[in-house]
Amino acid sequence: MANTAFEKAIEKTTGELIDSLRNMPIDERRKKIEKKFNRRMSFPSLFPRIGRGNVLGNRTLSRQKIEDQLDRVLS
Amino acid sequence: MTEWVEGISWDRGRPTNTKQLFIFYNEYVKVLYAGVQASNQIPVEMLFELNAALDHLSRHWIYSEAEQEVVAKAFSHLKRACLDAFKIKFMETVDQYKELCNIDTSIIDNGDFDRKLHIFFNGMRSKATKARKVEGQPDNDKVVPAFELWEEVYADCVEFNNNFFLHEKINWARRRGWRISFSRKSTEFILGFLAGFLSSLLVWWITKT
Repeated sequence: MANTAFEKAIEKTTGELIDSLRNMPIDERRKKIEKKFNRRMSFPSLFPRIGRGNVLGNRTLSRQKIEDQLDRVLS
Repeated sequence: MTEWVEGISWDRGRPTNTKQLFIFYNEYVKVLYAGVQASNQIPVEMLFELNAALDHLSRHWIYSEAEQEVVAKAFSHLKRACLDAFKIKFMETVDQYKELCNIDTSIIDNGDFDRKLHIFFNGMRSKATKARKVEGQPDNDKVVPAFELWEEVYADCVEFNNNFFLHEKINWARRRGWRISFSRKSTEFILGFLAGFLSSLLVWWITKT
């Protein structure tokens, strides 16, 4: 059960109980969110807002692009 | 789902062994990560920190580095990931505030909404400034100073989202503002057209006579 204002804020943000967030394996939660949004999770770079230097800059690749590149190499 | 082990909780201080580190991860890092993940995206910078933490931990078993040492290093990366999560939330709220500033919110609740909006945001911003200043303060086994203040900012961000950004009259103010702006631009266009027509008529009349 959420005890602090911070934990209650997390519950409001996620729409889940704090104990459930702690208990659920992280990959299961990812699948649940992807199902809710009906698309794969994305991994953007928010540098320089956060992070301490990112060699990838804004050139991050989606999982699908990596799969496509691999398919192209293997074909 | 597995059962919660009774008696396990994070004592809010800097962990000194692997078990304490994982308790900190479960109680704090995981829920903040879930907060970021709720928008169906995770910034790579956060993943780099989690990856670095895992790498440090592995070095205790693979290269026999002292447990306390690897835990301290892993904790600093997890702490950085948490601070990143706090900053993402705050920056999202700053973007929401800027969006609200582009809408004529003074028409909501006879200007009361506008007054409360600016007071609340300024209070939140000064808390975030304080939190940023204590980030460099050393942690101890009782407290991580930066977290105490950032938690308050996080709770304020959620309150801002619910009470201001998602306020029931925002869409009405947005539509009304658009109508006012459209009618003002239309009037300006018609006046401009009439002025052009009249001046052309004047030039024609002068050149004719």
